[in-house]
Amino acid sequence: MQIKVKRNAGLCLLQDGGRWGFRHLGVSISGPMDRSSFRWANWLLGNDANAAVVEITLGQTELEVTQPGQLVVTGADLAATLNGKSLELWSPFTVKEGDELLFTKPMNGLRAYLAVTGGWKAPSTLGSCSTHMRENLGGLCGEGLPLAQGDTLDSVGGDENILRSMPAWLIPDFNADYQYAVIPGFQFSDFAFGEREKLFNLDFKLSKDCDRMGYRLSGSEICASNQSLISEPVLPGAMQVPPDGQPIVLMADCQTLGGYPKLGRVFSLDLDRLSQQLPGKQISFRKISLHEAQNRVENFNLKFET
Amino acid sequence: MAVLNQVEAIDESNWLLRLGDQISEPCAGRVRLAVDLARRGFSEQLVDIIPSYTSVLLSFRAPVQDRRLLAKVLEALVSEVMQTQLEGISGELVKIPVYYGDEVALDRADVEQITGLRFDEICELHQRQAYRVYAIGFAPGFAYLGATPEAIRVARKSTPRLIVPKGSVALADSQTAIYPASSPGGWQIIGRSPIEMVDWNRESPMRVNAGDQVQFYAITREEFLALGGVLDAD
Repeated sequence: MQIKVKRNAGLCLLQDGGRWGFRHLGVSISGPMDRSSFRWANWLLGNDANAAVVEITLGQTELEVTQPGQLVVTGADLAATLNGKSLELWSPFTVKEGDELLFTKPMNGLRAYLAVTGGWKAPSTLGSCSTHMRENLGGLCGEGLPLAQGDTLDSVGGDENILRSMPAWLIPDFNADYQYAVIPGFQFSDFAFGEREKLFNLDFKLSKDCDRMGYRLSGSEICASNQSLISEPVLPGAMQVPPDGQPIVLMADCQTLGGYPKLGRVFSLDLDRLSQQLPGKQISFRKISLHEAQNRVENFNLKFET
Repeated sequence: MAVLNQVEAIDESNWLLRLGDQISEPCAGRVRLAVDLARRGFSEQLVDIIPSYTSVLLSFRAPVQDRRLLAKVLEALVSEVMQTQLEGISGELVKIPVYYGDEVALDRADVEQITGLRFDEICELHQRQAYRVYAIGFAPGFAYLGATPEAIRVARKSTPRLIVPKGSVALADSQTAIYPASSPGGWQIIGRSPIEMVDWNRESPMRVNAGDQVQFYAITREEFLALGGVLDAD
């Protein structure tokens, strides 16, 4: 199986399960922004759970099939078409040489995941091919570059007879109203009561400063009582509050240490959903307990047992 | 010491240990000890152990099944760390050569002005003691070293440089560091090292690790070039 990038004005990044085990050296985890959709993509084709996929952000991407095989697209609906016909997402399909796969624009969600049987072939740097542009790691040549016009992608290859399906009710609707779950923590109790409760009672908006490193919210200012903090480890999902009072949710490519006070952590599965939202979107949060978070993760994991 | 919430579950698989509330040698020693104990105690269950100045994040591979039990075990670990006499614990000493020449000491004038010292005095003070590697972060392989002598403490630049050349040796407040790669940065640059701080193809990619000690020594321009140092193109 092979595809060629014919035209690309969006952002296409090779991502596997992420670069784990090197955060103590300042290397971020990276990997897919929406891990849930990433996981479904590999599961639907019977792949290894960490096999490399292409994360297509925004669309404006045209791919040409140069060798036949099995593909699946999960995550955002980017008005994708196969040879001009609307493509069914979350469901494996067969392609032949000469087929054209087009991702147009975000209709529901922001990031689509294109997986192939066995995963895409890419060199591994520090145990992962995940593309981290700022750190110059991962991608097709291992130097952190996004896919560009003219690049060709080969599959690792595998059993093309494993084609799974998932029930429609498990397919997320990223446009639906949603309250994002936050586990209070880190410096949460250092914030004055009236300040920290703003997070759960007021609406925020995603600002235009949203990328793979962090999503900056705008809205009511949340004032931290103690501005200076000795830098401590941070992780994707951590919600930090800089002196301007506008929270930033750290995302997949975030730094490993941070010195801003933090209110807690956006629950992992909800962080996946948050990564599918576009600037300007109204966002509200609710508090959840560790117990609830754990139950939701365990329930989600059960769905992949076959 | 203020009462700290020493063991905190951040989510279903990440735990934060807090071992002090100020940057200090004993606290760095405690962090190092906690990392060793966690590595030995949990080994394969952990996917990442991330130390910082006063805290350590433990990232478990899978959601922790029995949170209450783990909390007890981690509290015991922290309590052992807090009670250990740390005098004998000191990391490996790594010596790093620095060329302090004008052509690479890009912030010489500012640092002289802020400290009121001559540049040779500044360089001498910078080399006089070994520094602790308190943490690695900001960028891959960027080691925060401290604490520098009072006399050479300078604030960060008010406008960060868009490009700090690779190998630059710099000061900021009570800290000093070597930029492992060219990157934007706001620290005051006083020299450049020819040493590759990171090589991702090595088994142990970093020249120094958190908890190690670093001491700088001056080299000449010729030595800098002979060791593979690169000067800026005119």
